[in-house]
Amino acid sequence: MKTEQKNTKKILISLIALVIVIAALFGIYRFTRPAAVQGEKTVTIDVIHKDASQKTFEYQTDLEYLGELLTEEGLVSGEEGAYGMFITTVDGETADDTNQEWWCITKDKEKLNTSADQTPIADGEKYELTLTIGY
Amino acid sequence: MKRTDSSDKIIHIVVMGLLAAILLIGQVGMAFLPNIEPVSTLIILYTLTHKKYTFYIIYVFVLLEGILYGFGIWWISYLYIWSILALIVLALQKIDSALIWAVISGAFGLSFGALTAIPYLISGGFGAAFAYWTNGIPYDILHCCGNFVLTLILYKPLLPVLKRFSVHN
Repeated sequence: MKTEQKNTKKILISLIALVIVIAALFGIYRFTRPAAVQGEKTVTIDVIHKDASQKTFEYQTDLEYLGELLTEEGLVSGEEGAYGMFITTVDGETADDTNQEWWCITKDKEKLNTSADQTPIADGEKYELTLTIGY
Repeated sequence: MKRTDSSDKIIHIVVMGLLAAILLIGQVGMAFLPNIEPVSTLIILYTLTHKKYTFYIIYVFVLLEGILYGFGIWWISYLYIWSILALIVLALQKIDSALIWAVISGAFGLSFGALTAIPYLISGGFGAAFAYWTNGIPYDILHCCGNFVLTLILYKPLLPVLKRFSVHN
């Protein structure tokens, strides 16, 4: 009887601890998430294809995240992955993952640490989408 | 008919191959659900029944995953992440409560993003690894819930089945 009570207590404590950790992590996520900018903005996107040809697209939008802008404008399509949208096709060119091809997102040639749908956009920003070979 | 030592070994190798294949099928079959996967639950159950032999199953599975999806940076984390879970299970193997294993499985799901961020720490520095981890927190929470529910449901029905095929039986 005593062992059973002890086990129930252990289970309860572990469940409560798990819920507390979930809440703490959610707090970290909310606290560290880059803030979105509201209002009209102009954003430029350079697409660099596998054959090194380049196309520039300029969008005026009141959307707040890069992913939703690119998807709504029909410039990209992708798959929802564990860490946000994984872009597979840009401007009609699909990355061939069997050849280790992928679309690299940069902002002013600097690599982004966030996926497109988690990247807030601001007026005057410039992004590059480059078909890259090799992981 | 009496089984010989070599036939036992062959059966054991075949069983381990099958268990690795089940891991892969389970992972691929549920890949359309973001971060909901039966791999953690199965590795817990495999370790409880096959002990150290689980590492062979894990590395066959990891190799197959690399062949299937490509040997990207994520694959490096697979080289240690499932073994960490197996080591935790080996350390806590005396526990016989579906609910506690569900909590352990959930906690592992919750820490998955932080553990897979380690290769990004080496390749991109602290900022890249931290951003990778924090961006994925909602998916880690989903992973935690999925692992918790799957382990709670599958622990009792699968454990006796896997015990029947264990070399430790």
